[in-house]
Amino acid sequence: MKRWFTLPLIALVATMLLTTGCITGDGESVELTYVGDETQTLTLDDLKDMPAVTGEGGRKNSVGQITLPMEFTGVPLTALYELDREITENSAIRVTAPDGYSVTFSYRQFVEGDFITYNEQGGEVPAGDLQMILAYEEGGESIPEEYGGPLRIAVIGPDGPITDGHWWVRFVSTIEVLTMN
Amino acid sequence: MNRSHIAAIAVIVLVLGSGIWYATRPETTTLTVICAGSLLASMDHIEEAYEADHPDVDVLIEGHGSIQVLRQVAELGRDADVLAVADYSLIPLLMYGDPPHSDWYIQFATNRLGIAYRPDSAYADEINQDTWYEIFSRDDVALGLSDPRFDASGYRTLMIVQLAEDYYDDPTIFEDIYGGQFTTPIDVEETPDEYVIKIPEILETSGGRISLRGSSVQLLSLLETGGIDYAFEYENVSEYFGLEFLPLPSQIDLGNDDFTQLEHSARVRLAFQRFASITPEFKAHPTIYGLTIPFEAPHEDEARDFVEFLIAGEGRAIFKETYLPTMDPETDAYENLPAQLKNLIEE
Repeated sequence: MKRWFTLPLIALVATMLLTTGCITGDGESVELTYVGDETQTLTLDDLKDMPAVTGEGGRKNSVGQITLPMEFTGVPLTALYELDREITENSAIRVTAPDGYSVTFSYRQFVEGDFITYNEQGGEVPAGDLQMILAYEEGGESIPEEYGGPLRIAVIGPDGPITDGHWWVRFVSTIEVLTMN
Repeated sequence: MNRSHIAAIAVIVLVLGSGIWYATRPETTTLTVICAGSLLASMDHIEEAYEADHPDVDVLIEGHGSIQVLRQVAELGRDADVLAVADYSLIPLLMYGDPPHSDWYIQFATNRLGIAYRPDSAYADEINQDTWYEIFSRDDVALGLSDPRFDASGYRTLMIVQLAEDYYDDPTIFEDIYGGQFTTPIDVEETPDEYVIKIPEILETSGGRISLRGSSVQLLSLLETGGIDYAFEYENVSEYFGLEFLPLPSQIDLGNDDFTQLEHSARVRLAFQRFASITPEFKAHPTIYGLTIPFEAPHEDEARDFVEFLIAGEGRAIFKETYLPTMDPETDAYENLPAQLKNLIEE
């Protein structure tokens, strides 16, 4: 094969691989610090190797504006917790973003899915079955930074529940497994 | 000239005309104003009035809790032209750091917290400034509380209830109302001159009398639909939504510094680091609104015009019409103010 043909072909193939994520491998660029009895780093590939769930969820911000439900895929927080230890009623998970924003979820929240839910007009409605996940996909695609990705918390359920936005931590960088006194 | 020629000429004239109109039309500037939720009712009217006066400006109003308002710029790097919060002291705390995002603020309005309720709320015919805290401790009274981990009105509510112990000389008010209502209790430490209210990392209700919501705005719908009997609300919000409103004594309503007459002050401390950039402690001080224009504002000229409209123009009248008391604007750094705004504020 002549050089004038080979070099552009290599460039083309490399470009295709880069744009499809095969070379950069999202799994290599995404790192989650997991703090249990020991601290470890989980990549996106590690997370994708865990049992995944998909469901819809939306959110309502502090002044009532609603983001309608979208489909999210990710790892249940219960599965992440059980990587380190058994779940009890004293279990809790602290989730932190790089800017220091942190929220701690109780057993009632991350195991039982105990959240206030709203309809699309913002009125409170009875909650169905809710599940908390560490989401890595929204609408079947990686979550872009402008939507809080690559990792964010989502509260999902079969009926596309709408929950308070302050639980939907964006840019998740650290997860700590806690046992409260 | 036949019909087809005329039609063709008409089309050409239309296309040329549209092109000239498009090329010479006034450009619209989108002015992003991020403000505290308790300002939204006023800001909707201000947006309408300002756009009527400035057809080349599209004002985009976005509401959040006050800490979140400033984080949009200081920590999340968003572009915004004007920031307005319900607690002026948060501006230096979050915006004057390294790198700085602003170096001045203007205080422009005040507010106070009181008790919002419906005419058919339990014991509504009994409630007044001397009975509210006793009514709030009754088993058949449902109270709303804005989550103090997320909302300034939530931690201010806890301060009010604690300060009430000094004002009414009754050391059990806080425990009578909130005791046994949370899975992990809210502890209060008393020092010679201050109450320190400690919010646990996980705050969940357990007693059945308290409904916890993320913000005071969310308590409104719960109150309107009968889910709760009472909630602490800002006066302007309560009046705007047509609720009954019981003002509290000025020594505890945090509308001014009369609380300094009491034996103790109050401070709320979160048991965990909520945000990287601020110490998770909030000290009692008067409810005074503050605004600033970030260094990174994309439309500085228009932002200055908008601030002038707010603090000295028609905006001031609209605040009053929407029940938000204004004040003579004051600043912490006159020398840093834009020249246009210096004329509006005493040095």
